[in-house]
Amino acid sequence: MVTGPLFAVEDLHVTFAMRARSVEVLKGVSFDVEAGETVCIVGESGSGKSMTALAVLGLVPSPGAITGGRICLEGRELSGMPRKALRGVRGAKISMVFQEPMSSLNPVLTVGSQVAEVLRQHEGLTSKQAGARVVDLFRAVGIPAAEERAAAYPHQMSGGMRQRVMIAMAIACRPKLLIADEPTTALDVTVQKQILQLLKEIQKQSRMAILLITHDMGIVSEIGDRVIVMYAGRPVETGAVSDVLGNPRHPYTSALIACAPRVAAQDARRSRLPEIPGMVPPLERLPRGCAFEPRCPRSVPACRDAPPPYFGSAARRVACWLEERR
Amino acid sequence: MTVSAEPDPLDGVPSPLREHARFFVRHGSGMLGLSILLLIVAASLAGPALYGVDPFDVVAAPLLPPGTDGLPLGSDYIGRDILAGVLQGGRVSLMVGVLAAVISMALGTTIGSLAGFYGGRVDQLLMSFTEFFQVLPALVFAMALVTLFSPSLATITVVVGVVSWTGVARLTRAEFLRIRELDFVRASRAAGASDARLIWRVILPNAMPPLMVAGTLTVGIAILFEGGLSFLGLGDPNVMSWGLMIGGNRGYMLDAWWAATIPGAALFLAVLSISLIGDGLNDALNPSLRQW
Repeated sequence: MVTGPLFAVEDLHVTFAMRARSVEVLKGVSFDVEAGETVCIVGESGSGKSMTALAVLGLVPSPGAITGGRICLEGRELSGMPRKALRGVRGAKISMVFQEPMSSLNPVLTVGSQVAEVLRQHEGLTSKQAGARVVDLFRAVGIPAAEERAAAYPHQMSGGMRQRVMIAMAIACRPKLLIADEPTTALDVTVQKQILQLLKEIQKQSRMAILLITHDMGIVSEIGDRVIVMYAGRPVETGAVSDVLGNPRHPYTSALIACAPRVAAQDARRSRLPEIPGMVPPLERLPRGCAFEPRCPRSVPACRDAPPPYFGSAARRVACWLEERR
Repeated sequence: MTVSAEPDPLDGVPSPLREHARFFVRHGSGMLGLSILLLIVAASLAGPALYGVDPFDVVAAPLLPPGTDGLPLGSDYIGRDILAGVLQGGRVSLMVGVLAAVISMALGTTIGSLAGFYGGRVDQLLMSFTEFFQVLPALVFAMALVTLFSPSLATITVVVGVVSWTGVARLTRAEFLRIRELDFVRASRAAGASDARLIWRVILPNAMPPLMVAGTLTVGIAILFEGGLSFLGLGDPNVMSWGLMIGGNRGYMLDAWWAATIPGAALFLAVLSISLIGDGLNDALNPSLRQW
């Protein structure tokens, strides 16, 4: 019997080694995901959230590499696994849905054959068996006229339909963990809603864990159980979604929540959409202290001297010097 | 499932391949090329049997003009039937052209795809190897190779293939470098695809349009190469080919222009038709060039 979490990342470091210098894009990312749970990673562009997803699958693009830490699925360590074994995990036990449904499907093969290929590879099905399963999967993800659609090419489908195909492909081998990297960012708002509902539905049936990467706090509140807020390659606040959104303790989290546009707010009609001043600093020129300090409205002198350690319990961790006084 | 799906209005849209075919059929010069080529193929396949004259037999006085003594295209410098030679020579030219192009494409796509897919060291090594072949003047290299081995149809085919693959390799490499960075390649990798699968099933099919054009044009180049080698007397002396006829009759150009010009025109037409097809394919396979 496997004890411990379904999926765990411990102190993950990813470094890009360029000719003259090296840049650490992930500096000590730790989190775990339980079966049937949805964990969201939020942060701005450049915070390292997509890199975390790629690192989990061992797909960090060159010249980057995992330089430290452990990634474990059901107690088995993935980092350092032989390439062939890792290929057996990718797409089967851990699968991924990408941001761009328009470009994530091979344009010269029918969508059905692309999903069938995953089944044939990981489950050793014949093309006939795989074809039948593809139709079932297409029905399960709400693709109408599944049989005809399986013979369609990607350019013949809308973005929402293609994302459904991507999801069908991702759940084809009943993965333990689904990583969704901004799965709805490229879609219309109404289609976004449908896709999120679909993911929830699938999760309810299969107790699959979902690691959802997004920059949208609205999506987090809608679908997430727990949330990890990342900034400059490091989680700055983690906890249950209701706690973190209802009572943010890191100034960056508060700022992100304030930035989310609210349609219902009465006084929002004429007011300017709030924003976080400044930009994520370039990773090779991070300040000596807290990475968020230059943009932080509540910074204190201590913030400039050393990066903050984690405060709080495993259920609710915050990396901010303000926590020291609580 | 409770999730409702949006309606999709796209039904009965043809597959990419059929769409390309439709555009090619509408391409005037491409279809002209295809018609000429089909005519040449039919003539050289069925012609020798229908006409029934051995191209090596001396059947008449030398250098008779076309139309005399029942020889539609006249006779050459030792009295052989030129029509019989042109029909028979078409077989050789087309066969050598197609087979050499196949060899060239196989070598070029293999080396180019490995170099483009893996990059780094592998790329450097394979591209240095390619450059080694590129700096050798192709015709001189081919002549050296043919003289080294005995000049037979098989050696000529292989030699022509071996001297003409470098462009294909560079083209394949460039396509692979471009396509390997696209999202669907990353998505396939994330779904557990092996390198071989990524190369064969994912990237190569997407690199096909320019490669098909290159392959077609390579057939034309290979036909010219074979003609050139035969012209220089390095062809297979036991097989009638267009190059051999041009080479043999070129000394009599002033007395009997037709003897060298007719096989030359056949060669010209064959290569032209293939180039036209290549152009047509290029337009049909490249959506941005399509005229709507």
